[in-house]
Amino acid sequence: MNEHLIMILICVLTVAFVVFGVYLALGKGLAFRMFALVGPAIGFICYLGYVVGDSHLDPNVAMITTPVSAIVGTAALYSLYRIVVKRIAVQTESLMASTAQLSATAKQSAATAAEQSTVVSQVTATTEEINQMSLTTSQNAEELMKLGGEALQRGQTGLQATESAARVIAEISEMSEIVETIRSLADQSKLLAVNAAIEAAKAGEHGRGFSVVAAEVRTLAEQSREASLQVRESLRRSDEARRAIELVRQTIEELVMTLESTADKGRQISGATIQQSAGLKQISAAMQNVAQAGHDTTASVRQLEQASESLRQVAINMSIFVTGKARAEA
Amino acid sequence: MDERDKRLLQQRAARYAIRNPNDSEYSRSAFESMPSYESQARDHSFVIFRLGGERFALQATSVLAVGPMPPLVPLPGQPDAVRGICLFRGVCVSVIDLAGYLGVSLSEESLLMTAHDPHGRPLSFAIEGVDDVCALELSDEAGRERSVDWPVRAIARTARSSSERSEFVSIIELGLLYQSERISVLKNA
Repeated sequence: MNEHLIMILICVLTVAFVVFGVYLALGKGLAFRMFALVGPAIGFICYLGYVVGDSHLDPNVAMITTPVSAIVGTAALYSLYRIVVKRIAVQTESLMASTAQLSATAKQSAATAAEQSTVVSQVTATTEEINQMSLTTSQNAEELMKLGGEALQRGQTGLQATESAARVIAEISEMSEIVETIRSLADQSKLLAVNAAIEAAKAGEHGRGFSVVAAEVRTLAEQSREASLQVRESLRRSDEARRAIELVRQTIEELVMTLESTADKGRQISGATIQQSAGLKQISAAMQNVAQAGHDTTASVRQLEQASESLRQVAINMSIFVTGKARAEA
Repeated sequence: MDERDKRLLQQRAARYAIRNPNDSEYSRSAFESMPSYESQARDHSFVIFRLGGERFALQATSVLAVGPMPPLVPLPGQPDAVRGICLFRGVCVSVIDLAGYLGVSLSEESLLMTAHDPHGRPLSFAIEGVDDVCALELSDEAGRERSVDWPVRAIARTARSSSERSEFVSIIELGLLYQSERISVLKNA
């Protein structure tokens, strides 16, 4: 009676396990399917183990406790599986979200890296143009220095020439005193001639020849005076020329100073452009390194993107496998 | 100028400063009694000089000398026509303002002409310059200038060659200067 009862219970339990397993098998999810397949098998295996194996317990008690143990164990295993599966599902969800975010970040990083690469290329090109302009400026500055040096040399030559001319004109101007003396002598000679002519006139017929001589002397005196006036006029013009030369000398001096200042500025510009060119070369090299790093970053980001996509697909597959449901974002 | 010259000039100045009440003008008859100028002009030489931009002539025989302008000593109480006195060959000579008398102004005063007056005394005046010593040709206008109130006795023109342009000059008679009250003080000095 007891054996039948036990068997009935076993059958009932077995049927119940089968029904429960079918129910679970119809459900979705790895844990339920595992339990549906593994649970009855475990109960049946425990029972067979008890029946076939050697047992020291009371057969009646064993007939009862064994299926109960199987059920309880299966239930505990089922509960454990549900917890694990839930956690796996949660982690899978988080993994999917993380992989999605990672993928988006990777895409954004790839776009940023591409944009950065473009900007770096533009900066590199601009730096190269600036470098070329700096080189051109440096060449122009050197040319300016060369021309300024030639102009400076010519200006100094002109300055020396004006100084020589000023000295000559100053010496000529000193002749004005001599000319003034000549003019005074001519005036006195003329007066003497006039007085001689007057005395000759007083002498009447006897002084006629002397009056001719006096007239000639007066004529010579007048010519001398006229010549001295002409020389004085020439000296006055030479004085104007001296002032003009002095003005030219001052102008050339200012020009020489300006040229010296220009040459100095040219040297400064040339040095600055050389330093600028060197700095631009360093910037260009750094930009090339940055561009290379950008390319490497882009490649790494793409690999990361691919990896994250693969990981996301794995997460989706795992989620489907665990939960038995295909998510919308999958 | 030494102290002796200054003393002489001061004595002469003091004597000239006293107006002589017995001075009398040259009469018209005296003027008319002068020899014909037409007869003298061609035969005598004249000194042509400039005064106030105009040309005047003085008979060469009456001119003593032409020289640079010496320093003048003003006379106390002197007439307006007398500018002062100066030394000429050791003699004090009156320097009259001939330009002012003739109504012209000196543009430059560089020379002093000294001449004999009709009394044979030296008389000086400032001129601008001497142009020539030559004979003159009387012009047709000569007679009209004959006046007892004007020292210009005749108008003549310089006898130049055909290539040169002759210029008119005014012949001055120093004796006529004494007809003026301004100058008459010198007549008997």
